[in-house]
Amino acid sequence: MDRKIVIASHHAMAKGIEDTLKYLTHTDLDICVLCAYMENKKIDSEVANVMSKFKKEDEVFIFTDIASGSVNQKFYKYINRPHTHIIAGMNLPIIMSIALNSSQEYFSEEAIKKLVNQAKDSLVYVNQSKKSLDKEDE
Amino acid sequence: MTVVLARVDQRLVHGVIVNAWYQYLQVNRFMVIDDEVSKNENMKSSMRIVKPTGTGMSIIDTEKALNNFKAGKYDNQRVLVLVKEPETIVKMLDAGIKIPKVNLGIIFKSEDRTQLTKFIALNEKEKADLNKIHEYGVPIKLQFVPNDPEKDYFDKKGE
Repeated sequence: MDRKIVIASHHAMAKGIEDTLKYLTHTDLDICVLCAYMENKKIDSEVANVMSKFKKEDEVFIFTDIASGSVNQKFYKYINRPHTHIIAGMNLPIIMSIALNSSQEYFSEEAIKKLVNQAKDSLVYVNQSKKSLDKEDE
Repeated sequence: MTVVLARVDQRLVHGVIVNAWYQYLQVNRFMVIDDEVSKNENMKSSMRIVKPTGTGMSIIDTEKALNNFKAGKYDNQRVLVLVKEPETIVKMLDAGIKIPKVNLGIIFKSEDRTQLTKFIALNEKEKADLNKIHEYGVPIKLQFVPNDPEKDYFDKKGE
């Protein structure tokens, strides 16, 4: 089983996330990047082209910029493809947690849900997140 | 074993440390040893907010670190030591603290430093201190994230 990652966005966010992800993790994962509407064109064929590259047994994670956007809508039709997971409103933590996972097993929906919740928690209002010292800190 | 790894990383505690290295090394204490940062409350609190739940974090000066280690304070813990300069590691070794391995993570470019790898630049003082660490028989490795192949510092230097 191979794990494949698709990062898709309106314009260049996807490319930027890929660049930062590779800098931070040095992952050798195969990442497909789709920067939509850079040339004011429909993206149906690009989306189909990305999805056609995967083998049936591949586990595919599709990260999109925003749930309400057309980029996410274009991928939506693949939601019932086996071992395929679409996560919208992507941030670096959720992609890192998938990209750094070395397990050869398919992810369960429960496990993905947990990682998504952790990624949500990683969106932090820093002004109010000051921690007092734990007893283990000095 | 108390110190699991001592890493030279001028960013000290940051994302790569609390995610990738934390998971890889399974440490339960992050220890920044730095005489300046230990006095800077702002920097300390910016590092503390990224601390994984259930771990401890020490941000202390060299003297306190040496005393605490000697007093056996961390004997039952797995500690990842983070320093900005190899000199701090030399002081630990001089004080008899056991360090199984030194990792060179990030040392930024500056005028007096020559570039060794993409992430490591070294000045003469730092090179001399790495030689002292080597004399203690401690392996020195180059590895930015655990996913990278581990390279030996002296092999790379000889290239």
